[in-house]
Amino acid sequence: MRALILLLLVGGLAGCGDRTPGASPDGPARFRVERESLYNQILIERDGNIVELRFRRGRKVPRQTAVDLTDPERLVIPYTRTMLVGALVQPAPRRVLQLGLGGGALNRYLRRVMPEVFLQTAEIDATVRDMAVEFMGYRPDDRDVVVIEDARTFVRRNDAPWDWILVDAYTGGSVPPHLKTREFYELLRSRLAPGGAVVLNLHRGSRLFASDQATLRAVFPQVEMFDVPGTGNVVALACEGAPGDLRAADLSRFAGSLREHLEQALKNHLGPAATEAVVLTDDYAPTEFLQQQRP
Amino acid sequence: MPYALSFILGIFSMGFQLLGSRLLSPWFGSSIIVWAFLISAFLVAFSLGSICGGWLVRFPDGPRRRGVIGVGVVAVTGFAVNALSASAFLDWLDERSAPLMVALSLACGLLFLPPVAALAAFTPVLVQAAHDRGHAAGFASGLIYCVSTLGNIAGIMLTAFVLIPNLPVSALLWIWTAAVAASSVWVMRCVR
Repeated sequence: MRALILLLLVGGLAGCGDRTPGASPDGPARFRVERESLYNQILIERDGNIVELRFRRGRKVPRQTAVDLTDPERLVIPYTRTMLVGALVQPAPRRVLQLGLGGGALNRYLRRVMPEVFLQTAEIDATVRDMAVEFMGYRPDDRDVVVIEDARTFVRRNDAPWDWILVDAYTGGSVPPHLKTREFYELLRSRLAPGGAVVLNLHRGSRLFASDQATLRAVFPQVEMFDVPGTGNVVALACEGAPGDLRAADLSRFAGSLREHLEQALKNHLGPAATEAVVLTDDYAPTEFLQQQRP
Repeated sequence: MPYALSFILGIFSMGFQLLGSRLLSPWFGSSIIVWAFLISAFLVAFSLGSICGGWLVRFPDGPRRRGVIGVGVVAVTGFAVNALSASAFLDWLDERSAPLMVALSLACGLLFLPPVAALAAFTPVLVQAAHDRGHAAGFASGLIYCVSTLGNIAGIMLTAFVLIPNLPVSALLWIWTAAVAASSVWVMRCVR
């Protein structure tokens, strides 16, 4: 019994150590907190104003996202800037659905540059949300709502239309197979408001990338790819309607950082998605294996 | 023969768990909740199947043989139902908008529990068959569970690394149905 009480006391004290740093810009300039969730071993590291969220994978601890606590308008991770390409199709979104929260970097940004937007996020890992709130300056409210649920289940059970759907639902270094299939993309397409766009964070470097493109092209009339130089990321923009010329997009309506990000994205526009690969379906989606194979 | 059969049935039962996860994910995702229900359904099936199989072997030869035929029919029908109509059933369930855990219980309980319980019911039958061939009850039981577990491992590895990467889940379910039908006939030939 004494041993049990001692164990509980030690456990309690260890837990207290977790709670000290917080997300205030005035907090400690350096800290490191690690927590285990149902899905991930999550590491938060602060160095100055930058707080990074990482998932531990054995010895590797790849960075998932990062925020600048003092500047919500600064998107630290390059691909998150390219995720704004939805504006090339729907420049004034009112309702945005995000599948995968990360550290809430895009939420903070969109609330700053598009304050009128309603943001709904589906995140499967409650600890990711909790740590984003506690350490990364993320503040959900009634116009920035997070639900803890599998992305596909959420989309199936909610038929509201969205102007942008941002898909960045990585778990364990990969996207689950059921979020990569033709049926899932058809579901997303059915949830798009007229003139809406789906934006997806993809990774090049494996055979899965070709299948990602082919599967998107099997569902959406227009799928455009945007490179994120210096990273393995490629952002896909999928939308309804006949293929249009994105290079002719009028950026004059945008200002500030959004315009800069869109100009940069257009410079890195790779063109339409390729179609020569296996289309992934709910019946056949060996994503884990395609991801292991070189293109 | 009972040992080889036990190994093969072990392949089907745990390989089917991976197929089950692929069947469920479009409707329920792949969260830890889904896995908890899936694993629990299989364990309940193993438990129910074992007690039913144990009960069956107490009967005299004729009724036992008929019982084994009945178990085989349940197994084959259960896999055929998955191959034929799992997607339609999951669609129907989804349209009812039942709470996630209720829907998952129904999906796992109706789709997976009957065929897996039937496969598990063969195990005590095979233990008895080995015993009838002159092996001590304890030895036969130990060896059957050993090779069955090895079959489970083989089933997981084969399904994960060979079958799912190369074949659609719908085709695999038909392969399962055919293979379980063949194995059921083999079990019947084992029973004296």
